[in-house]
Amino acid sequence: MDGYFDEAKRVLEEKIPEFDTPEFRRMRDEIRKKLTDKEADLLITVRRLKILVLGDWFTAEKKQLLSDIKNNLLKNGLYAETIDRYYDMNKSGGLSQLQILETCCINHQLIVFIDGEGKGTLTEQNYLCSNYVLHGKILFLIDEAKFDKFKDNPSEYIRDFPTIITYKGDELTNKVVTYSKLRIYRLANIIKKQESAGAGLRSPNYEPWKERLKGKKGYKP
Amino acid sequence: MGENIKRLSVEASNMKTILLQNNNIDILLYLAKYNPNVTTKEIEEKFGKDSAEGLKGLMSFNLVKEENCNLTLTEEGIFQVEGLLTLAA
Repeated sequence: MDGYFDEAKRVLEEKIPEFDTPEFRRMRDEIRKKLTDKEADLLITVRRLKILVLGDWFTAEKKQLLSDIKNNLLKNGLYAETIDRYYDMNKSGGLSQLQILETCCINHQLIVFIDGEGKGTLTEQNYLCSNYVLHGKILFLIDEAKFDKFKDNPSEYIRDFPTIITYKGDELTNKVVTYSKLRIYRLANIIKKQESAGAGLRSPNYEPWKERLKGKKGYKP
Repeated sequence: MGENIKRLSVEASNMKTILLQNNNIDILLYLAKYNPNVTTKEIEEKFGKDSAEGLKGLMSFNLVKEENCNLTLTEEGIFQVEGLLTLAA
């Protein structure tokens, strides 16, 4: 188990009272009561959404940075994973990194991609750039100095990412948390709103705009 | 975001239903407190025969797993119990 979860488990063991005590039952009843409230739905939805943190992980230092970012997201109530949970770079056989990426990118609702150099992120970069369908859920973070060097050149690879966030030095972790939180809460709100309104393209009652506008004054099909 | 909103919504709603079923909150708290040295048999003894069904539900949401006859919370399980405790705070 990851360092974050070891610590989280230890804290849970401390916080949860001994079984079969009034304190245990009180905690259980309070959770049950709050869980039945509509307000708890947003918390449940937010905690179900998953973030994949991608970036350079070929050196111990870079890998640690990704792990720190992931742990900061977890501490802030956002479920995050790095690809090494699925892929062991030292292990031969099994699924390739590309196959793992395909599975992960579909099953995570937000992809935080931190710009790297060369080998470290080339597979991820090529995969993400060529899969347009994923672009809407990518936050691409790049060092400000590097961005400034590339920003006026539309042939540079950064053009492939619609959401670009720049950072200076140690701002990176805080920026990832801030923007991830906004994105995840936005998605959770969309889910809750569409659910309560029965709206959305996948609703059986959905009527395309073309149909809705038929017969309206000034509408030309 | 290119997400299947309906699927995510149904999953969150189903998970809430599972959490509220039978003694599932008790089971999660118990496992968070005492695992990994907890067996299915022990859970059934403490929380009744229905708890086996509850465990299946919790496993289907990847909150609990069974390894070598011992039940443990998964990382997602720990994360969700953390969330539940914030409700009780």
